[in-house]
Amino acid sequence: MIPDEREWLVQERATRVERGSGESLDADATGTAYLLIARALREPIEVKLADDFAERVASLAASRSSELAVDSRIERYLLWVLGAVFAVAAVTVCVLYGQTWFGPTLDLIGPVTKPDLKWILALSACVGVSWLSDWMRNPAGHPAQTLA
Amino acid sequence: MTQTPPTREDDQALVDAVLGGVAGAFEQLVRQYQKLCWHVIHRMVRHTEDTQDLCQETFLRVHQYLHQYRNESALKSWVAQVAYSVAKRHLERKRIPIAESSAEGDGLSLLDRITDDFDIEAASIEGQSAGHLHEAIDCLPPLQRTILTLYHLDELPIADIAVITGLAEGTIKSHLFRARKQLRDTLTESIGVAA
Repeated sequence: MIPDEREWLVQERATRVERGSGESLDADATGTAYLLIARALREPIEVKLADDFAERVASLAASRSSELAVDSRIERYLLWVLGAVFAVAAVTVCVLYGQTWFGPTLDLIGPVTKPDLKWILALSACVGVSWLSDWMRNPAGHPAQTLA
Repeated sequence: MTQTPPTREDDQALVDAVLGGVAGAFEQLVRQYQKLCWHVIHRMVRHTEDTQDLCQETFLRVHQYLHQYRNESALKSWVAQVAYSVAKRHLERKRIPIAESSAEGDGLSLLDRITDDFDIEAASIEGQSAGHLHEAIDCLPPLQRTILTLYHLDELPIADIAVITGLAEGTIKSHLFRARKQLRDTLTESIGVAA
């Protein structure tokens, strides 16, 4: 991995000396060069951020966070309305046209059992209402978010 | 550098305070890590205005995703990781390679790439070295510049730098070794520190 282990050790020792470890370093050209390099690399970099940067970013983050919360609430409400409309439409279609396709479909599948259409519709409605109430109780089904 | 680094408990307490909506907690987090964020991003992009924008973007991301912080690494490393990924994406959008040495690409050594307007006569020997070194550091590829800064200036251990950059520890060591050797070669060529 490191092509020259000895030189790596000199680099590391120069780094520790520059950090004030109290170690000594050979006063040869290689050691001197790495000491100069370690010193240059430790020179502070000027941070050109405004004095109120932290305050400004914190207030921006807070306002974005509340915007996101509002968006999320609206999105949930719209999804709920859409789900309800879809459920009502499905029940209406079943009530209006169910008789015309449900009977023949059962005939096609086979005369094993022929349940009453009203009971099937009632069962479907129960399942639908149960699913909707579950969904409303647990609306935070956000997909996992990733950092990058 | 002389301040005691925050412990994992301090980190978790700060994160809990931010997530709990305690007034001023996020501002404190930003203050605590804005310097580190600047180091990472500025070393990567080398453009002041872009760095300012990207620092802001970094902290907004930190705020948005802080609930994902699991205290498996220091908060410092986690914030630096976000800063690094923001800067890396910025360079990728601009099609700037982060690891490939541009000096290798155009056949020029670091010394060739240093500008000629450096006034050697006016500078002292120490000043000469420092001046050439800073120019040579600027000519390194973004990844190497960032690794050197995190290791030497921020004094982060190699394991933490590996977490931040998503690279293996051996790769970080290799980058450190090669970058410092390149700087030494530049120094030797420019002011005649004989090897």
